[in-house]
Amino acid sequence: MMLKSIYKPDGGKLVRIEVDLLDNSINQIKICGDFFLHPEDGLEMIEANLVGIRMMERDIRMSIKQTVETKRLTLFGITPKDIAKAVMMAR
Amino acid sequence: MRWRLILTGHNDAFFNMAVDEAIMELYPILKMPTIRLYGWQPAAVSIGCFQSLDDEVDIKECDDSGIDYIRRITGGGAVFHDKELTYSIVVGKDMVGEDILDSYKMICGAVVKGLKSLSIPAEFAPINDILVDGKKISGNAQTRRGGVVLQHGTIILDTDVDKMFTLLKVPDEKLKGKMIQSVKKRVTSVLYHMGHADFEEVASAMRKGFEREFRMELEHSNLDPQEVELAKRLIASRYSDHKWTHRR
Repeated sequence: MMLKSIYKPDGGKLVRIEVDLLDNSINQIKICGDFFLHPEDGLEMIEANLVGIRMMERDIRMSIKQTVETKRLTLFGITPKDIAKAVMMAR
Repeated sequence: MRWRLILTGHNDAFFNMAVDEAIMELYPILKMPTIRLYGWQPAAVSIGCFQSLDDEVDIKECDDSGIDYIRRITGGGAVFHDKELTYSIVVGKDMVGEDILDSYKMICGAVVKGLKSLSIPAEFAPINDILVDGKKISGNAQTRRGGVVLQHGTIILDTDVDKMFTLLKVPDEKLKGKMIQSVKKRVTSVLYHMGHADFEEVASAMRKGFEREFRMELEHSNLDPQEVELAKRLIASRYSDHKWTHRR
């Protein structure tokens, strides 16, 4: 079942999450919103690297942070912490 | 270095977005910093490259109203392009710097200077907005490929928030009325500040703003035939392609 959430941090941009779980890990995830990410194809890498990650806020945040750092991505309007929080809010 | 000013008038969303991308893609070959000023006919909704079309846009309402909808290659939010002047700038990264936020400030600085020349006391509001008395008059979005920067943005000539909210979806329908009132309080226009809003007058002011910010003189030019050809290909392969528009 696809779980969904919408989260807008104070002063930040809006993020929408659609996540499908398998055994409490991420099976499939879509991250949408009006934030900025450079280069733009980095979002697909963030999503791909989240597959298999346990549904734990810290693990999700660390996965996103690692992708951002290793792929030299720049996020504006949203942080890895915000995205992780949004994922955990999905119902 | 020679800077071009390209005035393409009012065109549909597919042409407008394809031309911006074509100018950026061909910059490494043509090597001409470019300012383009344009409008939208018919009116259109554009969404940011990370937005979900189904979540943001009432497609049926757009179709029924003859409003185009399109996915940009830049991030940011959904925009209803109606009575507005849009600018795009394509330059080498070396001309605006490595730091993305600083480059937003610099490019938006040109728009601010243009608005100030119309006696509109605008100011840049990071990340990507320009405000007058705390209200948004311009939204901007940037992308970078290789060493090339494309930024485009709107200058709102007049607003129709009620119309906009018939085309855009809101996260919670129950709060739609409140959201409309809130947006009306947070958005302003050239018309509100000047008592009139003339596309050509604002375009002329933007030209001056860019010339002052970048300390150069713009030369009127047409699109290069290679740019026209690439734009045509991009319309077919990307902007009018269902897969691109619905990709999220």
